[in-house]
Amino acid sequence: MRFLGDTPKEFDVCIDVTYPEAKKPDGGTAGGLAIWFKDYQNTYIVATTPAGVAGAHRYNKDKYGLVSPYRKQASLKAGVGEKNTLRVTAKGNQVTVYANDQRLFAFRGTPEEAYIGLYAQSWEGETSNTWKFSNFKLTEAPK
Amino acid sequence: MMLRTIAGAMLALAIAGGPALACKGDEIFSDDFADDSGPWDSTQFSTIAGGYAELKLDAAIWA
Repeated sequence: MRFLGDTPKEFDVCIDVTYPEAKKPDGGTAGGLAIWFKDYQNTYIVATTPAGVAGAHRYNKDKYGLVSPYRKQASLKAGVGEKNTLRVTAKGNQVTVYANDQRLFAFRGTPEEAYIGLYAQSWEGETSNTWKFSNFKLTEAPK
Repeated sequence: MMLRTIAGAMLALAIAGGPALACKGDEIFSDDFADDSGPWDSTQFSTIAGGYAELKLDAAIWA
């Protein structure tokens, strides 16, 4: 689900993410933000799971690559219905990810003038996972 | 002094409770998702209303 209002290379974006019900809270579903989102085959994904895990991966010409390992994060409130504020800052080629004002990890990427999107994915058989996002805020990258 | 302390505490609470406290720079856009009038593309998996953008997914799909 893309934000169509701008395609910033550098930015600071914040969103509240509410975890859905999941049969497999760690690995059954993930949600977060797509950044430098040219299309579904070319984008970076910063995601979290209902188990309080977060990391990042990318698709480059539809090829998957891990850019920051998915790890349990103490600053994420885990569990169904828990809400966490995810923040992603992109400046130059540096991306920094925060949750609830705590730095989680950083990685280097290839900046693109492309969309920012809300991301969710499910691998849970016939179960539907409903990810809820609130309080979207996009600002200029920090000086 | 007491009043000042209480006011300070309330301000601190208000700041701490802000949903997007971290994004402090010049605002490009914000959305409280009260309705679907914002510049978002819609998919069969997405809805915007009542303060939330929702992505409801079946298996092996991302949106």
